[in-house]
Amino acid sequence: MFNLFLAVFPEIFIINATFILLIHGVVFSTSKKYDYPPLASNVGWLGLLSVLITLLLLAAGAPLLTIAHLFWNNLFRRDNFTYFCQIFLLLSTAGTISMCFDFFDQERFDAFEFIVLILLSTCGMLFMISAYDLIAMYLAIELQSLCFYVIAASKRKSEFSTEAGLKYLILGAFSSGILLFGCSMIYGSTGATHFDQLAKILTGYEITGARSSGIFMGILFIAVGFLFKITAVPFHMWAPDIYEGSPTPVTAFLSIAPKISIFANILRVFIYGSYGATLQQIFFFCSIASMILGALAAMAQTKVKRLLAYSSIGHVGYICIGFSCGTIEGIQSLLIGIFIYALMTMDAFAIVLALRQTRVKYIADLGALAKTNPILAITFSITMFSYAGIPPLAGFCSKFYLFFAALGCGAYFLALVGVVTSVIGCFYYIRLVKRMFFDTPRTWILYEPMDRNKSLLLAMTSFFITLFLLYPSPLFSVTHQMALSLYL
Amino acid sequence: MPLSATMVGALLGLGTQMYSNALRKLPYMRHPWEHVVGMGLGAVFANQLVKWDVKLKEDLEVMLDKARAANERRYF
Repeated sequence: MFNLFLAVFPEIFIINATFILLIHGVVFSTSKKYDYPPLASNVGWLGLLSVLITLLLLAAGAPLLTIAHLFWNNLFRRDNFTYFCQIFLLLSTAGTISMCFDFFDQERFDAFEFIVLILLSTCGMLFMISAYDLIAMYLAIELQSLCFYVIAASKRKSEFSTEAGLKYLILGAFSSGILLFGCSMIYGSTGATHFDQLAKILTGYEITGARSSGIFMGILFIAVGFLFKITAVPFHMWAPDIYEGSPTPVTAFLSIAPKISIFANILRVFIYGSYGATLQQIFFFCSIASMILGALAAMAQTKVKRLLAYSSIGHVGYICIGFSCGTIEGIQSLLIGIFIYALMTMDAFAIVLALRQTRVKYIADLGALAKTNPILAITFSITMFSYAGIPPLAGFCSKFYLFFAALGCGAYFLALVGVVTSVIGCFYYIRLVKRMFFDTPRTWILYEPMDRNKSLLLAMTSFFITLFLLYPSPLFSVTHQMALSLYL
Repeated sequence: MPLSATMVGALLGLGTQMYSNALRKLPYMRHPWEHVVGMGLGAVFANQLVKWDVKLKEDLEVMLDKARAANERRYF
Protein backbone atom coordinates (compact mmCIF):
# COMPACT_ATOMS: atom_id res chain seq x y z
CA MET A 1 0.00 0.00 0.00
CA PHE A 2 1.27 3.48 -0.89
CA ASN A 3 2.59 5.36 2.12
CA LEU A 4 2.71 9.06 1.27
CA PHE A 5 4.95 9.96 4.19
CA LEU A 6 7.54 7.34 3.25
CA ALA A 7 7.44 8.48 -0.35
CA VAL A 8 8.14 12.16 0.39
CA PHE A 9 10.28 11.72 3.47
CA PRO A 10 13.54 12.34 1.53
CA GLU A 11 12.32 15.76 0.41
CA ILE A 12 10.96 16.59 3.88
CA PHE A 13 14.26 15.58 5.44
CA ILE A 14 16.43 17.62 3.09
CA ILE A 15 14.27 20.75 3.50
CA ASN A 16 14.43 20.44 7.28
CA ALA A 17 18.18 19.78 7.15
CA THR A 18 18.64 22.91 5.01
CA PHE A 19 16.77 25.11 7.47
CA ILE A 20 18.52 23.62 10.50
CA LEU A 21 21.92 24.17 8.86
CA LEU A 22 20.96 27.75 8.01
CA ILE A 23 19.98 28.46 11.60
CA HIS A 24 23.10 26.68 12.86
CA GLY A 25 25.26 28.76 10.53
CA VAL A 26 23.64 32.07 11.44
CA VAL A 27 23.72 31.45 15.20
CA PHE A 28 27.29 30.22 15.45
CA SER A 29 28.97 32.36 12.79
CA THR A 30 27.74 35.51 14.55
CA SER A 31 28.62 34.21 18.01
CA LYS A 32 31.09 36.36 19.92
CA LYS A 33 31.57 33.54 22.46
CA TYR A 34 33.08 31.28 19.77
CA ASP A 35 35.01 34.17 18.20
CA TYR A 36 32.96 34.30 14.96
CA PRO A 37 34.16 30.97 13.55
CA PRO A 38 34.29 30.27 9.79
CA LEU A 39 31.65 27.63 9.27
CA ALA A 40 31.89 26.77 5.57
CA SER A 41 33.67 23.42 6.12
CA ASN A 42 31.58 22.55 9.16
CA VAL A 43 28.28 23.20 7.36
CA GLY A 44 29.77 21.48 4.29
CA TRP A 45 30.35 18.22 6.16
CA LEU A 46 26.91 18.39 7.75
CA GLY A 47 25.42 19.13 4.32
CA LEU A 48 27.21 16.12 2.83
CA LEU A 49 25.85 13.98 5.66
CA SER A 50 22.33 15.32 4.98
CA VAL A 51 22.60 14.39 1.31
CA LEU A 52 23.77 10.87 2.18
CA ILE A 53 20.95 10.41 4.70
CA THR A 54 18.46 11.63 2.06
CA LEU A 55 19.90 9.00 -0.27
CA LEU A 56 19.35 6.30 2.37
CA LEU A 57 15.78 7.49 2.95
CA LEU A 58 15.16 7.35 -0.78
CA ALA A 59 16.54 3.83 -0.94
CA ALA A 60 14.26 2.89 1.97
CA GLY A 61 11.27 3.87 -0.18
CA ALA A 62 12.24 1.39 -2.91
CA PRO A 63 9.57 -1.29 -2.26
CA LEU A 64 6.91 1.27 -3.23
CA LEU A 65 8.14 1.60 -6.73
CA THR A 66 6.87 -1.43 -8.61
CA ILE A 67 3.75 0.62 -9.36
CA ALA A 68 3.75 4.31 -10.15
CA HIS A 69 1.92 6.55 -7.71
CA LEU A 70 0.61 10.08 -8.00
CA PHE A 71 0.39 12.17 -4.88
CA TRP A 72 -0.34 15.67 -3.56
CA ASN A 73 -3.36 16.30 -5.73
CA ASN A 74 -1.70 14.40 -8.60
CA LEU A 75 0.96 17.11 -8.91
CA PHE A 76 3.85 14.69 -8.33
CA ARG A 77 4.60 11.14 -9.44
CA ARG A 78 6.79 8.49 -7.90
CA ASP A 79 7.95 5.66 -10.17
CA ASN A 80 11.16 3.87 -11.20
CA PHE A 81 12.20 6.79 -13.37
CA THR A 82 11.84 9.30 -10.52
CA TYR A 83 13.55 6.98 -8.06
CA PHE A 84 16.71 6.34 -10.05
CA CYS A 85 17.00 9.94 -11.30
CA GLN A 86 16.79 11.21 -7.72
CA ILE A 87 19.40 8.71 -6.53
CA PHE A 88 21.69 9.78 -9.34
CA LEU A 89 21.11 13.46 -8.54
CA LEU A 90 21.91 12.96 -4.86
CA LEU A 91 25.09 11.01 -5.68
CA SER A 92 26.20 13.84 -8.00
CA THR A 93 25.46 16.44 -5.32
CA ALA A 94 27.41 14.45 -2.73
CA GLY A 95 30.36 14.16 -5.14
CA THR A 96 30.29 17.90 -5.85
CA ILE A 97 30.09 18.90 -2.17
CA SER A 98 33.01 16.58 -1.35
CA MET A 99 35.14 18.49 -3.88
CA CYS A 100 34.55 21.80 -2.11
CA PHE A 101 36.25 21.44 1.26
CA ASP A 102 39.77 22.17 0.15
CA PHE A 103 38.46 25.08 -1.91
CA PHE A 104 37.01 26.66 1.25
CA ASP A 105 40.39 26.51 2.98
CA GLN A 106 42.54 27.54 0.02
CA GLU A 107 40.38 30.49 -1.07
CA ARG A 108 39.43 31.45 2.53
CA PHE A 109 35.82 31.11 1.43
CA ASP A 110 33.73 31.85 4.46
CA ALA A 111 30.17 31.70 3.16
CA PHE A 112 28.38 28.75 4.79
CA GLU A 113 25.27 29.84 2.85
CA PHE A 114 26.89 28.26 -0.19
CA ILE A 115 26.18 24.76 1.11
CA VAL A 116 22.70 25.75 2.32
CA LEU A 117 21.85 27.01 -1.18
CA ILE A 118 23.22 23.85 -2.79
CA LEU A 119 20.96 21.76 -0.53
CA LEU A 120 17.97 23.98 -1.31
CA SER A 121 18.60 23.73 -5.04
CA THR A 122 18.97 19.95 -4.67
CA CYS A 123 15.57 19.88 -2.99
CA GLY A 124 14.15 21.89 -5.90
CA MET A 125 15.68 19.42 -8.33
CA LEU A 126 14.20 16.45 -6.42
CA PHE A 127 10.77 18.05 -6.80
CA MET A 128 11.49 18.81 -10.44
CA ILE A 129 12.20 15.17 -11.20
CA SER A 130 8.94 14.01 -9.62
CA ALA A 131 6.80 16.92 -10.93
CA TYR A 132 3.81 15.77 -12.99
CA ASP A 133 2.12 19.09 -13.62
CA LEU A 134 3.27 22.26 -15.38
CA ILE A 135 2.74 24.40 -12.26
CA ALA A 136 4.63 22.03 -9.96
CA MET A 137 7.38 21.78 -12.56
CA TYR A 138 7.72 25.55 -12.87
CA LEU A 139 7.81 26.14 -9.10
CA ALA A 140 10.50 23.47 -8.70
CA ILE A 141 12.53 24.98 -11.58
CA GLU A 142 12.36 28.39 -9.93
CA LEU A 143 13.41 27.01 -6.55
CA GLN A 144 16.45 25.44 -8.21
CA SER A 145 17.29 28.40 -10.45
CA LEU A 146 17.08 31.11 -7.80
CA CYS A 147 19.63 29.24 -5.68
CA PHE A 148 21.94 28.93 -8.69
CA TYR A 149 21.82 32.67 -9.41
CA VAL A 150 23.04 33.36 -5.88
CA ILE A 151 25.77 30.72 -5.66
CA ALA A 152 27.17 31.82 -9.03
CA ALA A 153 27.89 35.20 -7.35
CA SER A 154 28.98 33.69 -4.03
CA LYS A 155 32.60 34.85 -4.27
CA ARG A 156 31.75 38.39 -3.25
CA LYS A 157 35.23 39.87 -3.59
CA SER A 158 35.54 38.75 -7.21
CA GLU A 159 34.02 40.91 -9.94
CA PHE A 160 34.04 37.90 -12.30
CA SER A 161 31.81 36.00 -9.91
CA THR A 162 29.47 38.98 -9.47
CA GLU A 163 29.31 39.41 -13.24
CA ALA A 164 28.56 35.70 -13.67
CA GLY A 165 25.78 35.84 -11.08
CA LEU A 166 24.23 38.94 -12.63
CA LYS A 167 24.36 37.49 -16.16
CA TYR A 168 22.87 34.22 -14.96
CA LEU A 169 20.10 36.06 -13.09
CA ILE A 170 19.08 38.18 -16.06
CA LEU A 171 19.26 35.44 -18.67
CA GLY A 172 17.83 32.78 -16.37
CA ALA A 173 14.90 34.96 -15.37
CA PHE A 174 14.24 35.70 -19.03
CA SER A 175 14.21 32.00 -19.95
CA SER A 176 12.01 31.16 -16.94
CA GLY A 177 9.60 33.83 -18.16
CA ILE A 178 9.52 32.26 -21.61
CA LEU A 179 8.96 28.83 -20.06
CA LEU A 180 6.07 30.15 -17.98
CA PHE A 181 4.58 31.90 -21.00
CA GLY A 182 4.69 28.59 -22.86
CA CYS A 183 2.97 26.84 -19.94
CA SER A 184 0.27 29.52 -19.90
CA MET A 185 -0.29 29.18 -23.67
CA ILE A 186 -0.63 25.42 -23.33
CA TYR A 187 -3.12 25.92 -20.48
CA GLY A 188 -5.00 28.55 -22.45
CA SER A 189 -5.27 26.30 -25.52
CA THR A 190 -5.98 22.99 -23.81
CA GLY A 191 -7.28 23.84 -20.33
CA ALA A 192 -4.86 21.29 -18.87
CA THR A 193 -1.62 21.46 -16.92
CA HIS A 194 -1.43 17.84 -15.81
CA PHE A 195 0.88 15.69 -17.94
CA ASP A 196 -1.63 12.81 -18.21
CA GLN A 197 -4.28 15.19 -19.58
CA LEU A 198 -1.76 16.83 -21.91
CA ALA A 199 -0.70 13.42 -23.18
CA LYS A 200 -4.31 12.53 -24.03
CA ILE A 201 -4.84 15.85 -25.83
CA LEU A 202 -1.49 16.30 -27.57
CA THR A 203 -0.22 12.85 -28.57
CA GLY A 204 -0.68 12.49 -32.30
CA TYR A 205 -2.14 16.01 -32.45
CA GLU A 206 -1.35 17.58 -35.82
CA ILE A 207 -0.17 21.17 -35.57
CA THR A 208 -2.25 22.67 -38.39
CA GLY A 209 -4.49 25.69 -38.58
CA ALA A 210 -4.98 28.73 -36.41
CA ARG A 211 -6.58 26.81 -33.53
CA SER A 212 -3.44 24.86 -32.87
CA SER A 213 -1.06 27.82 -33.13
CA GLY A 214 -1.44 28.43 -29.38
CA ILE A 215 -0.40 24.86 -28.68
CA PHE A 216 2.48 25.09 -31.13
CA MET A 217 3.76 28.35 -29.59
CA GLY A 218 3.33 26.97 -26.10
CA ILE A 219 5.37 23.85 -26.88
CA LEU A 220 7.98 25.99 -28.65
CA PHE A 221 8.34 28.37 -25.70
CA ILE A 222 8.56 25.54 -23.18
CA ALA A 223 11.21 23.89 -25.37
CA VAL A 224 13.15 27.18 -25.58
CA GLY A 225 13.03 27.58 -21.81
CA PHE A 226 14.36 24.07 -21.29
CA LEU A 227 17.01 24.37 -24.01
CA PHE A 228 18.30 27.50 -22.34
CA LYS A 229 18.66 25.71 -19.04
CA ILE A 230 20.60 22.79 -20.54
CA THR A 231 22.87 25.22 -22.50
CA ALA A 232 21.86 23.88 -25.89
CA VAL A 233 22.65 25.93 -28.99
CA PRO A 234 21.36 28.54 -29.86
CA PHE A 235 20.62 29.35 -26.22
CA HIS A 236 24.10 28.59 -24.95
CA MET A 237 25.65 32.08 -24.96
CA TRP A 238 25.55 32.49 -21.20
CA ALA A 239 27.29 29.26 -20.37
CA PRO A 240 31.00 29.92 -21.05
CA ASP A 241 31.01 33.30 -19.27
CA ILE A 242 29.11 32.04 -16.25
CA TYR A 243 31.05 28.78 -16.02
CA GLU A 244 34.31 30.73 -16.18
CA GLY A 245 33.31 33.51 -13.77
CA SER A 246 31.71 31.37 -11.07
CA PRO A 247 33.80 29.69 -8.38
CA THR A 248 34.99 26.30 -9.66
CA PRO A 249 32.86 24.12 -7.32
CA VAL A 250 29.80 26.10 -8.48
CA THR A 251 30.78 25.49 -12.10
CA ALA A 252 31.09 21.78 -11.36
CA PHE A 253 27.65 21.76 -9.75
CA LEU A 254 26.11 23.78 -12.61
CA SER A 255 27.59 21.42 -15.19
CA ILE A 256 26.24 18.27 -13.59
CA ALA A 257 23.20 18.48 -11.36
CA PRO A 258 20.75 20.70 -13.30
CA LYS A 259 21.32 18.71 -16.47
CA ILE A 260 20.10 15.54 -14.74
CA SER A 261 16.95 17.18 -13.40
CA ILE A 262 16.13 19.19 -16.52
CA PHE A 263 16.58 16.25 -18.86
CA ALA A 264 14.32 14.22 -16.55
CA ASN A 265 11.76 17.01 -16.79
CA ILE A 266 12.11 17.28 -20.57
CA LEU A 267 11.46 13.55 -20.88
CA ARG A 268 8.32 13.80 -18.76
CA VAL A 269 6.92 16.89 -20.50
CA PHE A 270 7.83 16.09 -24.07
CA ILE A 271 8.26 12.33 -24.46
CA TYR A 272 5.21 11.50 -22.35
CA GLY A 273 3.23 14.73 -22.59
CA SER A 274 3.49 16.01 -26.12
CA TYR A 275 5.80 14.29 -28.56
CA GLY A 276 5.40 15.04 -32.26
CA ALA A 277 7.18 15.89 -35.49
CA THR A 278 7.45 19.61 -34.67
CA LEU A 279 9.20 19.04 -31.40
CA GLN A 280 11.44 16.42 -32.93
CA GLN A 281 12.59 18.90 -35.57
CA ILE A 282 13.42 21.52 -32.92
CA PHE A 283 15.53 19.07 -30.97
CA PHE A 284 17.17 17.71 -34.14
CA PHE A 285 18.33 21.19 -35.03
CA CYS A 286 19.51 22.03 -31.49
CA SER A 287 21.36 18.73 -31.20
CA ILE A 288 23.22 19.23 -34.50
CA ALA A 289 23.98 22.88 -33.72
CA SER A 290 25.23 22.08 -30.20
CA MET A 291 27.51 19.30 -31.42
CA ILE A 292 29.00 21.48 -34.18
CA LEU A 293 29.39 24.62 -32.09
CA GLY A 294 30.71 22.73 -29.07
CA ALA A 295 33.39 21.08 -31.21
CA LEU A 296 34.44 24.18 -33.16
CA ALA A 297 34.31 26.78 -30.38
CA ALA A 298 36.26 24.64 -27.91
CA MET A 299 39.17 24.51 -30.36
CA ALA A 300 39.75 28.24 -29.93
CA GLN A 301 39.78 28.24 -26.13
CA THR A 302 42.87 28.94 -24.07
CA LYS A 303 41.33 28.65 -20.60
CA VAL A 304 40.57 25.28 -19.06
CA LYS A 305 37.16 26.18 -17.60
CA ARG A 306 35.90 27.74 -20.83
CA LEU A 307 37.05 24.68 -22.74
CA LEU A 308 35.09 22.46 -20.36
CA ALA A 309 32.07 24.76 -20.76
CA TYR A 310 32.10 24.37 -24.56
CA SER A 311 32.77 20.66 -24.13
CA SER A 312 29.63 20.42 -21.99
CA ILE A 313 27.65 22.27 -24.71
CA GLY A 314 28.88 19.68 -27.22
CA HIS A 315 27.92 16.84 -24.89
CA VAL A 316 24.43 18.25 -24.47
CA GLY A 317 24.18 18.00 -28.25
CA TYR A 318 25.13 14.31 -28.11
CA ILE A 319 22.66 13.66 -25.30
CA CYS A 320 19.89 15.43 -27.25
CA ILE A 321 20.40 12.82 -30.01
CA GLY A 322 18.77 10.34 -27.66
CA PHE A 323 15.86 12.67 -27.11
CA SER A 324 15.45 13.45 -30.81
CA CYS A 325 14.97 9.76 -31.64
CA GLY A 326 11.79 9.50 -29.57
CA THR A 327 12.21 5.75 -29.11
CA ILE A 328 12.79 3.66 -25.99
CA GLU A 329 16.37 3.01 -27.18
CA GLY A 330 16.83 6.77 -27.62
CA ILE A 331 15.65 7.51 -24.10
CA GLN A 332 17.81 4.70 -22.72
CA SER A 333 20.87 6.02 -24.55
CA LEU A 334 20.08 9.54 -23.27
CA LEU A 335 20.03 8.29 -19.68
CA ILE A 336 23.26 6.31 -20.18
CA GLY A 337 24.80 9.42 -21.76
CA ILE A 338 23.84 11.66 -18.84
CA PHE A 339 25.14 9.21 -16.25
CA ILE A 340 28.51 8.81 -17.93
CA TYR A 341 28.73 12.54 -18.72
CA ALA A 342 28.10 13.40 -15.04
CA LEU A 343 30.86 11.09 -13.83
CA MET A 344 33.35 12.32 -16.45
CA THR A 345 32.53 15.94 -15.56
CA MET A 346 32.95 15.27 -11.84
CA ASP A 347 36.34 13.77 -12.63
CA ALA A 348 37.36 16.71 -14.82
CA PHE A 349 36.33 19.37 -12.32
CA ALA A 350 37.95 17.54 -9.41
CA ILE A 351 41.20 17.71 -11.38
CA VAL A 352 40.66 21.39 -12.24
CA LEU A 353 40.05 22.10 -8.54
CA ALA A 354 43.20 20.19 -7.58
CA LEU A 355 45.19 22.21 -10.13
CA ARG A 356 43.65 25.56 -9.10
CA GLN A 357 45.72 25.40 -5.96
CA THR A 358 48.76 25.64 -8.19
CA ARG A 359 47.10 28.50 -10.08
CA VAL A 360 46.50 26.59 -13.30
CA LYS A 361 44.00 28.65 -15.25
CA TYR A 362 45.19 28.48 -18.83
CA ILE A 363 45.73 25.38 -20.93
CA ALA A 364 49.37 26.43 -21.35
CA ASP A 365 49.85 26.16 -17.56
CA LEU A 366 49.31 22.40 -17.83
CA GLY A 367 52.74 22.04 -19.42
CA ALA A 368 54.95 19.36 -17.88
CA LEU A 369 52.21 18.21 -15.47
CA ALA A 370 53.34 14.72 -16.42
CA LYS A 371 56.73 15.47 -14.89
CA THR A 372 55.48 17.09 -11.67
CA ASN A 373 52.51 14.79 -11.03
CA PRO A 374 52.41 11.87 -13.49
CA ILE A 375 49.45 10.05 -11.88
CA LEU A 376 47.29 13.18 -12.04
CA ALA A 377 48.36 13.68 -15.66
CA ILE A 378 47.37 10.09 -16.47
CA THR A 379 43.99 10.60 -14.72
CA PHE A 380 43.37 13.79 -16.69
CA SER A 381 44.36 12.00 -19.90
CA ILE A 382 41.93 9.16 -19.21
CA THR A 383 39.15 11.73 -18.64
CA MET A 384 40.00 13.58 -21.85
CA PHE A 385 40.12 10.37 -23.89
CA SER A 386 36.76 9.40 -22.42
CA TYR A 387 35.30 12.81 -23.35
CA ALA A 388 36.69 12.28 -26.87
CA GLY A 389 34.88 8.93 -27.10
CA ILE A 390 37.93 6.74 -27.47
CA PRO A 391 37.36 3.05 -26.69
CA PRO A 392 37.40 1.20 -24.34
CA LEU A 393 36.49 4.06 -22.02
CA ALA A 394 32.99 4.93 -20.77
CA GLY A 395 32.63 7.99 -23.03
CA PHE A 396 32.94 5.75 -26.10
CA CYS A 397 30.16 3.54 -24.77
CA SER A 398 27.77 6.45 -24.24
CA LYS A 399 28.40 7.87 -27.74
CA PHE A 400 28.14 4.37 -29.24
CA TYR A 401 24.67 3.90 -27.82
CA LEU A 402 23.53 7.38 -28.76
CA PHE A 403 24.65 6.99 -32.38
CA PHE A 404 23.15 3.52 -32.65
CA ALA A 405 19.83 4.83 -31.27
CA ALA A 406 19.94 7.53 -33.96
CA LEU A 407 20.66 4.94 -36.67
CA GLY A 408 17.90 2.73 -35.31
CA CYS A 409 15.26 5.42 -35.78
CA GLY A 410 16.55 6.47 -39.21
CA ALA A 411 18.31 9.70 -38.15
CA TYR A 412 21.40 8.95 -40.24
CA PHE A 413 22.42 12.59 -40.61
CA LEU A 414 22.33 13.07 -36.85
CA ALA A 415 24.62 10.10 -36.32
CA LEU A 416 26.96 11.31 -39.08
CA VAL A 417 27.23 14.79 -37.53
CA GLY A 418 27.84 13.16 -34.15
CA VAL A 419 30.70 11.06 -35.49
CA VAL A 420 32.32 13.94 -37.39
CA THR A 421 32.10 16.33 -34.41
CA SER A 422 33.52 13.62 -32.14
CA VAL A 423 36.53 13.40 -34.43
CA ILE A 424 36.90 17.19 -34.42
CA GLY A 425 36.54 17.18 -30.63
CA CYS A 426 39.43 14.73 -30.35
CA PHE A 427 41.70 17.58 -31.41
CA TYR A 428 41.24 19.78 -28.37
CA TYR A 429 40.96 16.92 -25.89
CA ILE A 430 44.18 15.33 -27.09
CA ARG A 431 45.81 18.76 -27.28
CA LEU A 432 45.47 18.90 -23.48
CA VAL A 433 47.17 15.52 -23.23
CA LYS A 434 49.93 16.73 -25.55
CA ARG A 435 50.47 19.82 -23.37
CA MET A 436 50.75 17.73 -20.23
CA PHE A 437 53.17 15.20 -21.63
CA PHE A 438 55.21 16.97 -24.30
CA ASP A 439 55.20 20.71 -23.60
CA THR A 440 57.31 22.80 -21.27
CA PRO A 441 55.46 25.49 -19.32
CA ARG A 442 56.47 29.16 -19.29
CA THR A 443 56.92 28.98 -15.51
CA TRP A 444 57.28 25.73 -13.59
CA ILE A 445 54.48 25.19 -11.10
CA LEU A 446 55.23 23.58 -7.75
CA TYR A 447 53.07 20.64 -6.80
CA GLU A 448 50.65 21.18 -3.91
CA PRO A 449 49.10 18.02 -2.50
CA MET A 450 45.39 17.49 -3.00
CA ASP A 451 43.09 16.47 -0.16
CA ARG A 452 41.78 12.97 0.48
CA ASN A 453 38.18 13.73 -0.61
CA LYS A 454 39.23 14.75 -4.09
CA SER A 455 41.72 11.91 -4.47
CA LEU A 456 39.12 9.30 -3.49
CA LEU A 457 36.52 10.84 -5.80
CA LEU A 458 39.05 10.90 -8.65
CA ALA A 459 40.07 7.30 -8.00
CA MET A 460 36.45 6.06 -8.00
CA THR A 461 35.38 7.99 -11.09
CA SER A 462 38.55 7.07 -13.00
CA PHE A 463 38.04 3.39 -12.23
CA PHE A 464 34.44 3.68 -13.42
CA ILE A 465 35.51 5.39 -16.66
CA THR A 466 38.20 2.78 -17.33
CA LEU A 467 36.40 -0.39 -16.30
CA PHE A 468 32.79 0.41 -17.28
CA LEU A 469 32.97 -1.57 -20.51
CA LEU A 470 33.75 -4.78 -18.58
CA TYR A 471 30.43 -4.78 -16.71
CA PRO A 472 27.91 -2.34 -18.22
CA SER A 473 24.89 -4.56 -17.51
CA PRO A 474 23.53 -2.84 -14.35
CA LEU A 475 23.49 0.60 -15.99
CA PHE A 476 21.84 -0.77 -19.15
CA SER A 477 19.17 -2.61 -17.14
CA VAL A 478 18.39 0.35 -14.90
CA THR A 479 18.17 2.84 -17.78
CA HIS A 480 15.95 0.44 -19.74
CA GLN A 481 13.65 0.22 -16.71
CA MET A 482 13.62 4.01 -16.36
CA ALA A 483 12.75 4.45 -20.05
CA LEU A 484 9.91 1.91 -19.85
CA SER A 485 8.48 3.38 -16.65
CA LEU A 486 7.98 6.72 -18.45
CA TYR A 487 5.27 4.98 -20.42
CA LEU A 488 3.89 2.28 -18.12
CA MET B 1 30.18 -16.29 -8.67
CA PRO B 2 30.04 -14.65 -5.20
CA LEU B 3 33.75 -15.53 -4.74
CA SER B 4 34.75 -13.84 -7.96
CA ALA B 5 32.59 -10.79 -7.14
CA THR B 6 34.20 -10.59 -3.68
CA MET B 7 37.69 -10.89 -5.13
CA VAL B 8 37.05 -8.33 -7.87
CA GLY B 9 35.45 -5.95 -5.37
CA ALA B 10 38.33 -6.32 -2.91
CA LEU B 11 40.84 -5.66 -5.70
CA LEU B 12 38.84 -2.64 -6.79
CA GLY B 13 38.77 -1.28 -3.24
CA LEU B 14 42.48 -1.88 -2.79
CA GLY B 15 43.20 -0.27 -6.15
CA THR B 16 41.07 2.76 -5.31
CA GLN B 17 42.92 3.39 -2.06
CA MET B 18 46.33 2.90 -3.69
CA TYR B 19 45.29 5.21 -6.59
CA SER B 20 44.13 7.79 -4.05
CA ASN B 21 47.51 7.67 -2.29
CA ALA B 22 49.32 7.88 -5.62
CA LEU B 23 47.34 10.99 -6.61
CA ARG B 24 48.41 12.64 -3.36
CA LYS B 25 52.01 11.60 -4.04
CA LEU B 26 52.10 9.46 -0.90
CA PRO B 27 53.56 5.93 -0.64
CA TYR B 28 51.05 3.50 -2.16
CA MET B 29 50.64 1.46 1.05
CA ARG B 30 50.56 4.36 3.52
CA HIS B 31 48.07 3.69 6.34
CA PRO B 32 47.47 0.05 5.37
CA TRP B 33 44.32 -0.16 7.49
CA GLU B 34 42.68 2.16 4.97
CA HIS B 35 43.45 -0.42 2.29
CA VAL B 36 41.74 -3.09 4.40
CA VAL B 37 38.67 -0.87 4.78
CA GLY B 38 38.75 -0.21 1.04
CA MET B 39 38.93 -3.94 0.27
CA GLY B 40 36.01 -4.63 2.60
CA LEU B 41 33.87 -1.86 1.13
CA GLY B 42 34.82 -2.93 -2.40
CA ALA B 43 33.84 -6.54 -1.72
CA VAL B 44 30.48 -5.47 -0.26
CA PHE B 45 29.87 -3.09 -3.15
CA ALA B 46 30.65 -5.72 -5.81
CA ASN B 47 28.42 -8.35 -4.21
CA GLN B 48 25.55 -5.91 -3.82
CA LEU B 49 26.01 -4.75 -7.40
CA VAL B 50 25.78 -8.32 -8.72
CA LYS B 51 22.66 -9.03 -6.62
CA TRP B 52 21.12 -5.74 -7.77
CA ASP B 53 21.89 -6.58 -11.40
CA VAL B 54 20.05 -9.91 -11.08
CA LYS B 55 17.05 -8.16 -9.46
CA LEU B 56 17.06 -5.46 -12.15
CA LYS B 57 16.96 -8.09 -14.92
CA GLU B 58 13.98 -9.83 -13.25
CA ASP B 59 12.11 -6.51 -12.82
CA LEU B 60 12.90 -5.60 -16.43
CA GLU B 61 11.40 -8.88 -17.66
CA VAL B 62 8.21 -8.12 -15.69
CA MET B 63 8.05 -4.61 -17.18
CA LEU B 64 8.65 -5.88 -20.72
CA ASP B 65 5.87 -8.46 -20.29
CA LYS B 66 3.58 -5.69 -19.05
CA ALA B 67 4.49 -3.53 -22.08
CA ARG B 68 3.93 -6.46 -24.47
CA ALA B 69 0.53 -7.18 -22.91
CA ALA B 70 -0.44 -3.49 -23.12
CA ASN B 71 0.50 -3.41 -26.83
CA GLU B 72 -1.42 -6.61 -27.56
CA ARG B 73 -4.51 -5.28 -25.73
CA ARG B 74 -4.40 -2.17 -27.84
CA TYR B 75 -3.58 -3.52 -31.28
CA PHE B 76 -4.90 -7.11 -31.44
